[in-house]
Amino acid sequence: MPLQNQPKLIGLVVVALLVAAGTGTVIWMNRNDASSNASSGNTPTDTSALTQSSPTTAPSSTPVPSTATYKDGTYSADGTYRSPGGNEKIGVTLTIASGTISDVSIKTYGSGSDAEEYQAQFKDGISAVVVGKKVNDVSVSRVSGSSLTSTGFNNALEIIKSDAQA
Amino acid sequence: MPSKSLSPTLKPSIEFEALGTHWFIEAESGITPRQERLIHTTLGIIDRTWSRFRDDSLVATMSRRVGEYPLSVTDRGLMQWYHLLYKATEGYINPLVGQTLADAGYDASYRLAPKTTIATTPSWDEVIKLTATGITITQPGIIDVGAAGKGFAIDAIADLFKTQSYTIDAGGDIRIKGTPQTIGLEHPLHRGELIGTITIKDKSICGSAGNRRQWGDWHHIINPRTSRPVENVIATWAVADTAMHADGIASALFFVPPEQLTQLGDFAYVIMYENGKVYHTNTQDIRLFT
Repeated sequence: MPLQNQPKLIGLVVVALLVAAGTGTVIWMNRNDASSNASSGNTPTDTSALTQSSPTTAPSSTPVPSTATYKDGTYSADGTYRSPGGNEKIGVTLTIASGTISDVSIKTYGSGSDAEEYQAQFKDGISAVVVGKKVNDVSVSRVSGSSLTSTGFNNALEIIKSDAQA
Repeated sequence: MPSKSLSPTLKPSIEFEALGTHWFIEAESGITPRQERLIHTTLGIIDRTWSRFRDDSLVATMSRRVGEYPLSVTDRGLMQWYHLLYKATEGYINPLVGQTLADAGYDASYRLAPKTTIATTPSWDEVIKLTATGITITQPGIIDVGAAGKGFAIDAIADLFKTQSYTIDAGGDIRIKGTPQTIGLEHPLHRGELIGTITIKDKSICGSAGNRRQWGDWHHIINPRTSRPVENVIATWAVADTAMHADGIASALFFVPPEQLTQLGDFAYVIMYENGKVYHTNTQDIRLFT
């Protein structure tokens, strides 16, 4: 797996994570289920509304890899997907400044208490808080995980790009 | 793995794209041209059997016509494993999510005629009956094996090597035999960073993450019940004897705690939350960067 030490905006990657999870469903809800309550249109809003501080562990700007220009602003998209428990929703907000993604935030609509319950159920595991190390600084023969520059990531980025050009 | 001097017809390793992911296969004593052909043939058969995006695949046929379908022993093994995952996760892992996707028009062949209402993912017993020789489909249902299919394919390749030592890496899902190897656990949010390592020998490690297209073009994670911790779990890894088991358990760990999966056999796990917390099996083979 090709690995580079390209710094990536944490938030962008988070957005990829969540958008990719919801991307397919956003697309199909949009395309095929007009009566659905999935709201997936990107709505520019006042950029000043965005007050999150940038992550300190990564540069706060990631160029959108294209020659196209994007309107500055904050874009929000809700993605709906279907689960055995019913429709679930995530919200993604992305700020574009000077043509680059400058901030990302995620809103989850699920209840948080169940997640805590889940964590409390661990009995035999060990808990730790991890920090990332550059892959070149560690001696490994292979890397296991999901590559974030996979097609899914790029697909998610394409959707945001096309919306930002609209 | 050090390669010895090989005859010109043997390749120390091969790399290619198949089943929507990148494959790296290395064999200590080299890969013969015949093995290389067999590898591609094997993956081709798996694609024609299990890809729901192929009109001519077995699962596509099953979606159009109810009835009894014979399956090979290994293919039955995949379905039996899926049934165990289905039961252990109380339906969170369900091969019939394919139907939901198709109803929604996600499947290209259905896009022209999306249904006005999207069917709830049916239960296993409504659609599937496993028999001694195959599978009986009792109502039209599209089967999607995204939660364990890649591991299944890795095992099929591993079987081709018999006594040879090998490394099979399909997009970060890995099975090895021979020399122990230290595998990096890729940080799910920071590309190019690792959160730790795990040393394995004669085992498989598979990972799962929310962003992941688990089975290349075959699968989107569409049923993360966010009332469960999907919003908090950002990556899981499982180590088991076979890749099919490791793959399925890694997928299941997104939905249920490890204690609920002990009936599925021995495995080690690493579960990472978005706050950077990690839960893992108490074993010295796992080293985390803290």
